[in-house]
Amino acid sequence: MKGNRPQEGRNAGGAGGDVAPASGALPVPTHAPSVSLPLRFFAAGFLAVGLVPVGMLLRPEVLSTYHYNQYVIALTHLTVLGWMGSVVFGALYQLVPVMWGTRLASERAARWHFVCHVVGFAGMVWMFWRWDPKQVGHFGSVLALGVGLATWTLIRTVWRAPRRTWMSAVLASALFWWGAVVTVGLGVAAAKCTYESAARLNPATPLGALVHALEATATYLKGFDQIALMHAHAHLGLVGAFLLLLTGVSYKLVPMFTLGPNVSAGRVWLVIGLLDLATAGSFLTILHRSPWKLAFTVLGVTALALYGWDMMKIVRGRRRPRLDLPMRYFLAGLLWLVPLAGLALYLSHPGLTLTVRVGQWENVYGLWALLGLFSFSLVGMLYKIVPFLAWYRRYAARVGLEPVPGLQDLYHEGWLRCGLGLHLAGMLVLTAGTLGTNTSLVRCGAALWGAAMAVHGINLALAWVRRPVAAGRAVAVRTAQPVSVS
Amino acid sequence: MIREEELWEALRRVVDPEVACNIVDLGLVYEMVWRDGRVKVRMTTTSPGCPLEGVLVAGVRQALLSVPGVAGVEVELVYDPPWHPGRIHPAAWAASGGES
Repeated sequence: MKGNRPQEGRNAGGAGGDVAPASGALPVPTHAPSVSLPLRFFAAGFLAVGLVPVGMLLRPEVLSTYHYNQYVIALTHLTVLGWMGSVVFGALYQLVPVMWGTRLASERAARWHFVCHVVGFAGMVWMFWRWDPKQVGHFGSVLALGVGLATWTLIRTVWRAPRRTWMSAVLASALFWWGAVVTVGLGVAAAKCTYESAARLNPATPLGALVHALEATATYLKGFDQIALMHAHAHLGLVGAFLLLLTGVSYKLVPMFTLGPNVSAGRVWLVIGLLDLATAGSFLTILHRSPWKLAFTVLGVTALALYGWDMMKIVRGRRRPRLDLPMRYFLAGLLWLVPLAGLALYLSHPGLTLTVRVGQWENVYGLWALLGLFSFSLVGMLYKIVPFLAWYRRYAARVGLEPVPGLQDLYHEGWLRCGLGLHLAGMLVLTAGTLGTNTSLVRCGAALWGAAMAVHGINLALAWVRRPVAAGRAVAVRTAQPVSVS
Repeated sequence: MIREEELWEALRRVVDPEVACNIVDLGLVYEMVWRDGRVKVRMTTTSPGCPLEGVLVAGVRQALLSVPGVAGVEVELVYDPPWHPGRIHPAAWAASGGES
């Protein structure tokens, strides 16, 4: 192996790689899409998450009582699609081309996905709130079209990429489960509708064929327990579409941000494979109210235990002695998996009868998953991605010529701490309000949680206008000798 | 005449904004050679698919072109051998507080 001491007159060999052009042009993102693409998804996500506490303030009974009504379903979809879905797709459009070393297959398709996504989830939430299942189906179809566009764009992007890694399997799995959950969701909506026109429409015509197919789907799905169908649908989305993606992506991002050791590809394949199996098995066993659902929950919890062990190894073996706040926020999100796994095992127990107390724990399960696990993780990652986008736009061209600020200089650390504290306090009070069936506590918790999201939203938005001076710490560190290659 | 110290000094101006450490002390520079005013750098990133890949490569090019006597720069990005945390220069890491 060669040393990196310069030797005049010697020609350097080496493995293949990109050779930069000789001219000193501005650094243009070679793989990332335009900044506005992920940003519009993030902005939609923050608008949606701002409405979640408003909904809880208006209808605190969504948490304080165990009862499926249109408000519960509307707020759940606002959180899952409006907040989590928007941020996840924005992050995917930013990260996938960069991680795979290619360009996004079609930024235009991604922009159309954004339109479908916003129209779809906003319309769905509105129609759930008003309880108009037929219109839910219509807006859900628009959302499904968007998911189809995203799948087509992302799969094509990965397909033509020079890098093929286990991340391809993670993405493919997550997109498959996205397709599955949207299909099941449309089926659930179809099952809530009536089809008077089917009697007078000829099945040979396109419209007649569609209406007859919807009627047949509705008849088939009405044969299932409707609560079980809804739980199976929710599980498919949370575990398949979101948790699997979070798990897979963190195997890449946590070592990258902590400068920790990488986990072997075989181990990631094992965890992702187990999660895939657990998702499929749990969906079927929940749907059929089978006692075997506990077995698949154990399988999923086993996968998460392996994942947790891996994350601990990465964090313990990291070279960054002090984890930055966004990373701590993200890891705090992963810690929610511990109580969630315990609760999942308890709620999957075949002998469990539904009582008021059990129902309250089901509410807590949803609360901890959506506003705890996923929201903590997403906020942590947003503090990595949004400042990077702002930094890139403003400072990338100056790297190497003058000192530039670090990413952490673009947001206010005090505000981040404040948001984290409010988030934790909000979760504590919301949990107390849910378990204590206390609407006042739920309202109080919702206000705290909403304040946390507002603080984060403003802090991240200000990353675009802050003009920090490059601190001394961001300037090069001097050493006596360059490091050795070997 | 290109001075070696100036080249390394220039490379140390290229800082990874995520960890606020320069690429030399991060162990990202594998090799630098020069001849007749042209400098060639073999470097890597902390992981394949690092979002800063393009920025760092362009930063290296700009930094070296600012050194008197440098007429051309070629940057080769390689992932073999892969970067690992053991390549971070401990003294530099400690000097920076190990954190940004």
